[in-house]
Amino acid sequence: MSMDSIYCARGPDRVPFPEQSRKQVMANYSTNEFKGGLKIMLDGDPHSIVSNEFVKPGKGQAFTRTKVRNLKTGRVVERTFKSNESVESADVMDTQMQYLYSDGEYWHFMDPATFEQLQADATAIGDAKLWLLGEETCEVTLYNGEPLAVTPPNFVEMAISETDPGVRGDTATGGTKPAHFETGAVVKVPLFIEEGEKIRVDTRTGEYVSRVK
Amino acid sequence: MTSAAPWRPTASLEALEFTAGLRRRVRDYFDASGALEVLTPVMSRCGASDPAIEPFDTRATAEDDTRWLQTSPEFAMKRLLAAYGRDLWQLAPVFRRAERGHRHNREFQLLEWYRVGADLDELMQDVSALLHAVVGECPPFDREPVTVSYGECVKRVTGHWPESLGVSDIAVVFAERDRHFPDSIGADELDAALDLLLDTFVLPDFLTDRPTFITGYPPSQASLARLTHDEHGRDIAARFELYAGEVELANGFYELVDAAEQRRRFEADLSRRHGAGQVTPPLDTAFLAALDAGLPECAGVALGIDRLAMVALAKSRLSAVMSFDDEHA
Repeated sequence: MSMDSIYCARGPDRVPFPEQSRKQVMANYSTNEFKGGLKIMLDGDPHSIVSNEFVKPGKGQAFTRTKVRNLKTGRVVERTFKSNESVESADVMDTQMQYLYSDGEYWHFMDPATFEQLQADATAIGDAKLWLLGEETCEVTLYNGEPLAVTPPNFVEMAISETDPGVRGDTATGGTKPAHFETGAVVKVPLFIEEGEKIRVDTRTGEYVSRVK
Repeated sequence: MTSAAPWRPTASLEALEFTAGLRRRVRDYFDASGALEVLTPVMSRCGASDPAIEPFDTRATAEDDTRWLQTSPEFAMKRLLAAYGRDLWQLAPVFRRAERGHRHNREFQLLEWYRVGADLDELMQDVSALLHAVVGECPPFDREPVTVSYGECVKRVTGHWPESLGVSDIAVVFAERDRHFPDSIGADELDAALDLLLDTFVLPDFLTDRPTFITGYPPSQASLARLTHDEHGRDIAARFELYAGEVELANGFYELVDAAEQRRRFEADLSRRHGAGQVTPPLDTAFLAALDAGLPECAGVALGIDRLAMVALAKSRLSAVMSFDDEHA
């Protein structure tokens, strides 16, 4: 076969901008569309791309090295793809929902726009349950429409239900004591904080931020 | 109304001054060594046939004839070599689709040069001399490069010469070291598996206080280099790559001058591209005609000048030495 015929056979049906047209047709991502936060299916589980890097050794095969987080287990693993490999997208969506209440088995959330309600199980709620009293707006990650994970607001304000008596005037020594909350959370607080006081907590670190006057 | 478009350069003024000085020293080096600076067309009727490189075409409407942006000035420079038999050099903008990352930009500058009558060792000495002349003050170029053998590197990791390995053996090496090996690498893609093996287990161990030449590539990765033997009698390709740490800087060849062999490699490349659904630019018949007419015995090398500046300035991203990287172009 002559090389011209190869080219001509391919010429007329060539799509001028293949990336764009492929994206519209299939729910797949090519490695050149990879970026942090992209949700993809690997081994039957939804994953989120943490980092990705294009590598191309010498004159050879190009690869995309990634670190991906399994959204079900939270585990981060290394995955390497041949460049231009395509990967199924994961039907994962982050939505803002309001926390309503827990019945002990499920945690109930409401979409403030549609009033649609969803329930998250203990796995999906994870540690977020420690920071939820009611009416907090949370980021609920949905997978195939079901809650997969719940991220509480970065800061919450909660009243201390139990802690050792405050040491009056001690704002300088830097000592701390455990403070317990209705939700089960335990936060280290400065010695001068009293039981019943409301404090502001950073939910990402579980650390005391300030007193709420 | 103001626009929020990011307009600032990605390189600092100091980096731009450094790259300007670098280009000046490159010109001085080649002037002193008697090589002729040339310019060749950036757009041509033919494009890359190498299956690992994706060329851009420039056709904007159906009425345009298809032109390809060069992925390397190699073929045009070899036509000049065949016609005039002189040492040649040029600093050429080249374009490669889909190559984007911290150390890749789809448009970059290749310093490409040819030495008539030189063999691979002489070309490597020439590369060392150029590094000394243009970035000799900057680590790791303040020390002489070391040379390692591709085969020995693979053997150190796997216990075997590359030619006696299969893809499944390489997959086992990854599994033993708890590293991911993509199952999309087919049993017939040994070169891809070796590429990943090198990138994962060999390059990270390269010295960072001096450059490294790798020589003795598998014949299947000969590209445009001629074939030869190593001291063990193994078939190897007469080519090298230059690295600074794990950053690839240059590819050099003891150039293939056999037109029939070149035509076979081209056709194998193009049928592989066709099979993989890649675009298949027309075969560069003018280049083959030049080989038929007779390419002088020569060695040639392509060096990524942006990468060289990045390493010399101890930067980790190519954008730090480019006025505007791909994202801001």
